[in-house]
Amino acid sequence: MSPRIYVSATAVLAPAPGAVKLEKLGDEADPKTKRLPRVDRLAVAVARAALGSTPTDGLALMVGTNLGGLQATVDFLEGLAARGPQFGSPTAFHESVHHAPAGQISILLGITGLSLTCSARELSGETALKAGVDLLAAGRAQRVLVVCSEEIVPAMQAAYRAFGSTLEPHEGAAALLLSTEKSEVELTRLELSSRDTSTLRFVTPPRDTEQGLIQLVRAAERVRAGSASERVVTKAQGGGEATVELSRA
Amino acid sequence: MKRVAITGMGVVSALGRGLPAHSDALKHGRSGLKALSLFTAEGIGQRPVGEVAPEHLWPGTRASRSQRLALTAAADAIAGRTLAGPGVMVLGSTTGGIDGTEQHYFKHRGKEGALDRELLRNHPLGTIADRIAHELKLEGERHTFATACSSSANAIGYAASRIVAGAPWALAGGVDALCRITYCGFYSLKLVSEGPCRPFDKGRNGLSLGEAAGFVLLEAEEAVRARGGKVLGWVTGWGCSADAHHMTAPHPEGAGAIRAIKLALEDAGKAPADVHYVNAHGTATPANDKMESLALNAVFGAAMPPVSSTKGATGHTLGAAGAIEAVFSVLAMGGSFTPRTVGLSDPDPEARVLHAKDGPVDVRCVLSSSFGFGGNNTALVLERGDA
Repeated sequence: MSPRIYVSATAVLAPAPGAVKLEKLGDEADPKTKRLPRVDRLAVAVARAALGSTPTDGLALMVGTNLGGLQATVDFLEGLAARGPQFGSPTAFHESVHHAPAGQISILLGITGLSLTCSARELSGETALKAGVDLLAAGRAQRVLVVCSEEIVPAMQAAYRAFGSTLEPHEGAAALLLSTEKSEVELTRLELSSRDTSTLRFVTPPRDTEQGLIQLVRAAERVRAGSASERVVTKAQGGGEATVELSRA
Repeated sequence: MKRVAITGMGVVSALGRGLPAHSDALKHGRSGLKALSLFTAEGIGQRPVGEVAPEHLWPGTRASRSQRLALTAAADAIAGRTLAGPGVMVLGSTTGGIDGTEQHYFKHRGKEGALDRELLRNHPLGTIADRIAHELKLEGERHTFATACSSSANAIGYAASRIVAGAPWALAGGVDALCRITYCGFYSLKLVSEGPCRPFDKGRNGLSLGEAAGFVLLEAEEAVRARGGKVLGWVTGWGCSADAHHMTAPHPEGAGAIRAIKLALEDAGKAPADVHYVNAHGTATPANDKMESLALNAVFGAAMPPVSSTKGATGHTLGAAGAIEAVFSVLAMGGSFTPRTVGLSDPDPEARVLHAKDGPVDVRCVLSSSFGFGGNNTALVLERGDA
């Protein structure tokens, strides 16, 4: 990997063990965020925490989300079903797009650089990370803020159960600030691969640990606390796989 | 950016399937818009849209409409070639398999039960890339970008950057199918025109939606030359910015659009005067076309090249727009023409650009712009390939 890429800051929001939702996001007093959809609020909260006082000049934003604004999608469809096709909610519509969390982050944190939203099932966060690393390596950004965010929606939980899944998905968000400036945690390996699968499954394979970038942020925290290196492997339905290694610089 | 070769292209839209059909329709200013027939929307009516004819959909009932559109265009771009080694697939889409999801929701309203669950299988955006990889036997990374209406322009830009970084091949493009959520959603924003859309026209009153898929196969120049392949066109510049202004309204002075266009030109090593044609985003909404004309005037000034929007012919195909318009740009260069803006009859003096006209013209460099919800602005610079 050239140039060397470092994780200079991280942030995570995940429910307590056994819970599927956070009790509080910490933004309840902020009038600019408290009415946003939860997937946006989660994303903005971790983005703000990871970014801190880092300047936004030369900053690119990569957001990973599998299902995006799913509650807004359900709200919009419910409006059509209940009131008729001509009475959809315009707010729910624009919040239903996957790019809405990235749009809100850029508006609220003043990020005007390159911005992408990546969606690749359980590898959404990892593909966002990969795109961010590539953009840093190509010199298209000086720093990259990688964010992932997922909300849970009753209709989605019902859908998981409809396909026989015993997994109880939970909400969560994580952010990593990437830079070529040396810091304690170095990203030493990032590989995405895929194998063909004839079964395009809907259900998410249950995993014991937290998922995606949340796992990765936990790994970065362990490296910062003294671990020499950490390796995180994520497998997704559809055949995708990501391997990420972090080392103490 | 080091130039990246386009060695295959596939496109399916309301204008038909394949490069000759699209080249001919664009050259002669034909429109594919007609009254919506895929579904009904009581209270809104059957407004003009760009629907793809059923015979152009990839066969198979388990795939979503988006997957079937994408497979048609992706297969045409690859044209039966065996792509060696793991490459990179980068797809742009806004709604993915939402057509199935909305059918399920209207039947069951999110309630428990396995009935009709197959309608939900293709909901995640990532299923399109997975389906393409499976059906076309493609090995490698799968990326799906969802930056709304700029999704597939970003897909092409990122894919080109991966070729520069050493990837052996990249299949890049985008897809979106017509569905209720976008038809009713843009209606809720009061942005759907009652008649066929009229980009840059004084009387424009909104967009016409469409569905489409477009893909380009990208390779390094050295690899193409080594095997004696033909270069259809080049990707030479990519620029992307965020407005940080509003979720649906563009920056009123086009600040983000100007940055994206300048970044793309800088990336390509081009001056504004080097550009021979602009394929504009040109949605025919009052705000977009006004903003875009301000941005183009700010960048090009007196060196304004001919500008047109092809959305009057295809409708606004959302996540597919950037990709199909990149294909159209390459077709324009190869065929030495600039597509006229279908639907434009009375140019708006407040959306002032140099409108493209019929007739042969030497086009060697095109700027294609795409703008999306959340304030995402993207521009690509494309150049003419081998004669």
